[in-house]
Amino acid sequence: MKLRALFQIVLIIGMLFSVYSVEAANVCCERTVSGGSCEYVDQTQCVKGFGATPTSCDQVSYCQPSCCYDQNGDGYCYANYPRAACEAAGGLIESDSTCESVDACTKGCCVIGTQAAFVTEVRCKAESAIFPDLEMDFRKDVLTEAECLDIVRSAEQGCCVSTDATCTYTTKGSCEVEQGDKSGFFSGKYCSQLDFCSCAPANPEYGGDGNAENTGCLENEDNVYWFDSCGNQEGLKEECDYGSGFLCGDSEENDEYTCENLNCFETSLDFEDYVGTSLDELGDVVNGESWCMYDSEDMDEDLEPGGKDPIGSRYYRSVCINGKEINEPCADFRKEFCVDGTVDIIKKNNEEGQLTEARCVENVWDLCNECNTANSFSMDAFDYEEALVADEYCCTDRVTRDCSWMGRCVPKVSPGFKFWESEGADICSQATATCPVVLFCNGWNALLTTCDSPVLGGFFTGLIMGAVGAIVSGLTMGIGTAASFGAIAWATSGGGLASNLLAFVQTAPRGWILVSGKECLSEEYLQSINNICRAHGDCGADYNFLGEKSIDGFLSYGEIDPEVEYYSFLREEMMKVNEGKDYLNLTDPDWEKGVEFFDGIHEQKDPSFSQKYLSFLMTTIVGSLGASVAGTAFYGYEAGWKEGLRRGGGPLGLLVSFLVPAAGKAAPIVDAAVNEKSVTPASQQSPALQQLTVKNPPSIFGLPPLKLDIGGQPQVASEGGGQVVKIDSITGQPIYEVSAEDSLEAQATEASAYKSRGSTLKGVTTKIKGENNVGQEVIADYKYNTETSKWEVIPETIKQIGVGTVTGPLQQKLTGLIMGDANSKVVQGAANAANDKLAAERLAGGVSTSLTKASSAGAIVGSAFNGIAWSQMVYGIVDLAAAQTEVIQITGTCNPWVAPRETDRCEECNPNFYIDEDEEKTSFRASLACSEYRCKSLGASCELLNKGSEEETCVSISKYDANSPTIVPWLEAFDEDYRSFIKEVSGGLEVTQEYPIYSTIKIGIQTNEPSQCKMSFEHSVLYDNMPSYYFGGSNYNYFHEQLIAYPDTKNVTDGEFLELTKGGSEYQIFIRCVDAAGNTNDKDYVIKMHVSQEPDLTAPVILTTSVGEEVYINSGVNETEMNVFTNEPGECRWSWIDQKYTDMPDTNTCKSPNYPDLLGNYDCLFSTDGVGDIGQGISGINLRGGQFKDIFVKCQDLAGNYNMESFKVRLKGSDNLLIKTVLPKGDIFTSERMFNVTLQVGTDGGANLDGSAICKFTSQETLKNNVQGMDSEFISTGNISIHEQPLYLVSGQHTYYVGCYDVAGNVVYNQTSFSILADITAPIVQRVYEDTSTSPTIVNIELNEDGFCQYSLEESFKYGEGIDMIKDGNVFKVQGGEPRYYIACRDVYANDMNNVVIDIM
Amino acid sequence: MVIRDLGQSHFLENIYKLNLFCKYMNNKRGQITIFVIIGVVLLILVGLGYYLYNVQGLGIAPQIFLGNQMQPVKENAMECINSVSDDVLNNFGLRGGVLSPDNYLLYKGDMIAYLCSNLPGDNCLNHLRTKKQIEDEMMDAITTGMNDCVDKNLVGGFLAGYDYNFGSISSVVEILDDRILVNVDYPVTMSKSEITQTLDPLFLNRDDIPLGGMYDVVYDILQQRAVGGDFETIPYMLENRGEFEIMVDKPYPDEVYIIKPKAKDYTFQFAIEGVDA
Repeated sequence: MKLRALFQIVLIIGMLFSVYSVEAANVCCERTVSGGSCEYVDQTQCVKGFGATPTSCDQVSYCQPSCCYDQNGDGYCYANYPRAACEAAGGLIESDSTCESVDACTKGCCVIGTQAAFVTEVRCKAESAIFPDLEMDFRKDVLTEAECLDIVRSAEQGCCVSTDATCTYTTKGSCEVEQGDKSGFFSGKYCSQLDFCSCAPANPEYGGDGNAENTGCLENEDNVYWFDSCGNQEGLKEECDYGSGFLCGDSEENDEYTCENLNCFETSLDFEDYVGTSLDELGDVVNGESWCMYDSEDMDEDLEPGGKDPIGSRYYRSVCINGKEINEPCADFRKEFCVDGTVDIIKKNNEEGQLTEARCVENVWDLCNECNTANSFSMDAFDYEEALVADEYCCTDRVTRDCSWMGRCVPKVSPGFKFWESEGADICSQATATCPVVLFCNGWNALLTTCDSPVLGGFFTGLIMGAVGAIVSGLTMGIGTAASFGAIAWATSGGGLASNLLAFVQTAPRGWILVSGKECLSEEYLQSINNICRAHGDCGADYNFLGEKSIDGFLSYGEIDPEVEYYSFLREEMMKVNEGKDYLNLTDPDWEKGVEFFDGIHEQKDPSFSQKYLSFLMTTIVGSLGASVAGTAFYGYEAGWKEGLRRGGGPLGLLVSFLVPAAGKAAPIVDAAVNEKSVTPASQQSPALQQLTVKNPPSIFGLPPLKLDIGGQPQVASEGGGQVVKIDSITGQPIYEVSAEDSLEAQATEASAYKSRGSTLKGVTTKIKGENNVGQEVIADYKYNTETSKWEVIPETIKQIGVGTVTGPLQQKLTGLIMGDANSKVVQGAANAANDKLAAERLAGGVSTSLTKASSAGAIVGSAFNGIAWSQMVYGIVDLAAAQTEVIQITGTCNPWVAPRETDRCEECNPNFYIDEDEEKTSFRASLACSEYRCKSLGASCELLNKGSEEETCVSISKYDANSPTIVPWLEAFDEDYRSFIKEVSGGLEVTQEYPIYSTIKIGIQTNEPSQCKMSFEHSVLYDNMPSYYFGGSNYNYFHEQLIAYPDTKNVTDGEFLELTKGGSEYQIFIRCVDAAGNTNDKDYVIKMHVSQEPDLTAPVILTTSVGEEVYINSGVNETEMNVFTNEPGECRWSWIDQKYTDMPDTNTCKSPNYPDLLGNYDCLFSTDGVGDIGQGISGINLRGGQFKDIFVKCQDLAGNYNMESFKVRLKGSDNLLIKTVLPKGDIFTSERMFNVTLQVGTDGGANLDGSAICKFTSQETLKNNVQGMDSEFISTGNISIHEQPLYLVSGQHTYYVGCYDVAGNVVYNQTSFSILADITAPIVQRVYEDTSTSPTIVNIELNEDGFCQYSLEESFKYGEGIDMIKDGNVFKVQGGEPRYYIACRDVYANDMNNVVIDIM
Repeated sequence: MVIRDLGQSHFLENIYKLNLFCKYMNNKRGQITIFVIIGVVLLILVGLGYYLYNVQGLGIAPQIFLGNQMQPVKENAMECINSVSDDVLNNFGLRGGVLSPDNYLLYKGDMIAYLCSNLPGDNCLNHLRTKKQIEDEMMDAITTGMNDCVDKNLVGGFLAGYDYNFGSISSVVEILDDRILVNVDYPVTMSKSEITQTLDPLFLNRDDIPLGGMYDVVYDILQQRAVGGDFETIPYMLENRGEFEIMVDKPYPDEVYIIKPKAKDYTFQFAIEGVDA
């Protein structure tokens, strides 16, 4: 139990910890503690009591986008505003988040006096409320801003003269002065043209002196105008064409306004290495003109095909605005690209010109792959071509996608990826391509594994064939009997030899054969695949934007194994197609190469018929046939053609001999040559034999009957009857089947040739067809009778198949029947059978047996050719059967690009890299911001440091970098006067020139790589142990500048400043730096400098005074304070006369403290009576308006140096500033809810004696004596004496406090109170009664408020048309006696009531 | 050489005279003691006079005395309002109209608020604060900054010759099209002899910061972008005659709009959240 309890305790505690260890998750906060709404932040940032949902804010109801506006607020309509934020701001929510359908948010023209703005009605209301005198004029029917502005421009303008002769040039609608002779609105007149306006003209056209300082600009106008002395415009001075880059302005701030040229004269275009839109033809870059810049010429979006963007490249847009070039990068990773175009413009002088405009557009590249449907493997050629056409059409649809056609649809601007994170692998893989290479190797090379070496293979083949050939030639040569052969035999054998030789030549030395895909082995093809690959994005082998190459992203020949048989062959083939180069890998990506392969079809093909069967055909058919013919010719010469075919004709001869029963027509030719036997003509053949079984010749493999061409005489096997001789399968005896094709003559000849070689033929089967034995077969033996030279059947051997030996009469009959024609047919058929038997025996028993049997030279040669023929057939069949086909897929594998491993160009990403020592740009790249993507593209070791800071820097952080930063002096950082005194010493630098004490010193160092540096006054402190006093800041930089200030107190550091001890010392600052790889300096870098013992020999510099060099003195003020600021501590004096410092009154001396103020200055004070370090204030001023006095100030430093020249301060007097009038006052009655009132103040006197002052007002009593704190300045105030402010007020009591001050600081206050009495309701009759105590009676009407009443006895009437009643307070009386009274009353606010009818009963 | 000889003879002569003087003084020890006591008393009286005059204002008209005492307070307050408003106004501009943005982009060392955050599709959620909200937040920031900045030790102290009272600092900020008005009420009251002097409210007119006009530019940009539209800077700038320069930077995947008034240094910048696709 204890264990269980302990376990539970541990479990519970563990769960508690697990609960508390859960980190706060991000949620969508309805309200955050920092005042935000709908922010997806840490839960702790949410305000309790409001929504906090752990999902993105677009998923929660309280953050749904809405249209938010405040009907009574600032007048803005916020589209897609979170509901919660709108509620927090007190706005109204409309469900149409675009605000387009919200009436209050529809834009129109808001006319406010002389101004107009194209804003929403809500905002118009808010803007109009600022000017209570003006009614809101919102025109919904105006649809454009230009139209809106024209409303004001086209308004009738002129000079508005008020009754007090104040003249203002304005619109007629804005002039509310009643028209008189010398007041009111004078249309088309400038104020300077009116005599009664005291406005001196400036425009020479109206008598002005043309002083350029009397010019100015008008709001929303381009041109320069004259302005009269009253500040009213006085006509056009100079017309500026904003479209051509000119606008009214005064950039020199000398009050002389001119048409200023806003064009850009120094732009990125000026740099030699600039790449981008060409603006050569345009000359100046005009204001508003924009153009594209990029990293490579290949990125011009006009180029076709596209997709050639280097890795890390980016598009930029430059804009010329106000004479300044602004560079705007398009989205990184080429999510956007820059497009440009030109438009024709007409300039001010009617010259034609062009304006270039550019913009960044979204790169819609991801739809390109939709247009790659053609597939050469799955489609036939026709469909493939059709698909290609459709794909190209789809690809070039620029409305839908940004693609380019290069035989495959690829992005026009290849997108960038975070390739260093292997991003884009899926995109790149779409460009992986395979190209099949088909190889074929014949059987013998395959068996001998000599395909790679056709020579070696040929050797073996030649060995075989050569051996056979040697036999042939040896035998032929040795026998030497060729000459004795007949011409026909010669010719026949010659033809056979020739065909045999042809077969040999054609088939002997063959190794691997390239069936298809030769193009796959070329560099061009690889370039093609790679180019498509890299057009897909940051893929394959490609260059970065600085031209550094990396090929690791593209793998080629990945499937080829050096161990495979065809490796060598393939390499040799590659060398053939690549001009002797072995391009197993791509080395230099090239856009120009492989273009012709973009549209190519690369399909796998089978070996052709000739490639596959050539060897077989040539060797087996042609060669074997040739050898057969030769063998037959030689053999047949002696043994007869039938025998020659069987014994010398090889497999084909043997086959033919089986198919052909007799030598046919060749016999007489042979016979003639031998001249030995007579031949019985076919016509004399026995009819009985002709009735023997006819057997059609079988076809060989379906081929038609052979046609033999011997000696040029076609010998066609004749059709008809024949004799069958077979080999008995039971007895093993040959059974010869003599077909009818064998002519009788040939059979006879063969038989006679055979008779000398044997005496008996056994087992000859004969089909006989007799009267009693129709169609029966008999077997019998034959014996050659040399005396008669005939074959004779041996009667007792006759057997009837299926019956047995015959005897008796049948025997005799059969004997007679057989022998009746024995010498002519049966016997000779048997002789043929003997020949065939011999051939069979030769095959079975070997050549030697045959040789022994064939003793003649022809037979020997024939036998040799027979062997050759058999050999060739076997060779051919083996060659065919063992043939080998290999398909090698040449795969170009497209992977994400890999940054170069070895690089030292990371820093070239930084814009600062292109800024020289004089801080001048050396390249247009100085305007191109670096980014992580660009940085990473420059090398695998490149890293962007100081991310998010102003000093983002791309540097190389190599793990192989073991070197600490090298520190050298950075002369430019030092004060210019000291640069020539900087001497590099061992381990640092020394400033040999002494620094004067109390000066601020600038020192600087430069490191060879971005580094962070620290400084210390102690030497030999490890970097990590050094205090956090960074030399030049904590960022990693090349250049480090440090300010050393206030060398006056002690040797400590304080914040960013390093303070030195007092003068007269030598100082050493020890510096160490660390690079991004963490390598720190092992040794200190020492900056040695000297501070002067004698601080200075020069007088202090009086920088300024607290009153400047000229100051107005308040009226009645006779003394004033004054601070004097100097660059070093000391004391100062002032005097009314310019005299030597030491002669100036001692009492007028102030001393500055020894420490500087926040700005590093030393100041001392002259004030009132002057006590201690405070000097006597400046007294005895006694100046009135228009008068001035000068005082002279000199100072002396602690070393006793004092000024020779005085610092002069002019004091200018002033009179009291007065407020003469403040209006309105008293009661103002109105029947309106709001009333326009003009607050007016009249001033006089002051510094300029004319009352010019700035007046402000407030309704807050607490501010009534605080002119600076007052809410608002009068809308018209300044150098005028009547200051006015329109107010639009509600009814009630109003008190306004006004305060005015002039340049002398004279301040005057006043106030006014008035009441706006508004009553918008008509009076009500409270009581009606008749006083009958008098005669006549009096009818009394009592109103609820003060007013007036009239009556009529006849009919209803409007107030003003009746008869006045007698007023007695709120009671109105009329004489009684009438039956009916019609009463109408009006209150003092002029509200009329409806008639009341009173009937007197 | 002559000069050196003369110098040596003077030196010996002085030593001799000093010796005689010491002997003389030994004889006058009582008188010296009296003189020392008188000296000390005089020194105390002078110090007391200084204290009464300068610290307690004895002999100075209370209004003038209080005015003198109030002057450094006023100067200190003015320094504060200048430095605080500089910081606050600049930070508001650099951070997108929010002093402490919840969601921000760190860009060139500045935390820039995302004024439009991602929504599905091309739209984004508009986080622009209303002018009133910005004014209120500026007001709070300036009030806080002033409280931290003003040196209350300048007023009073243990020996102060007057009564004093600190009220709580409050401020009002008004954003106008062409300027910002800052009004800070630092209610310091000094009183002496029934005379009371109050520090006038401090007023600052920053006509170098046309924040209202810049707000309109930001508003127009966000109105377009929030509903998925493009915002073309060039036509906009030309339409306004270059009154405001609009620069766009695109630190992936976000966008930063930088708005500067023509020929002025003030910068208003904000970010639009992008999607890292």
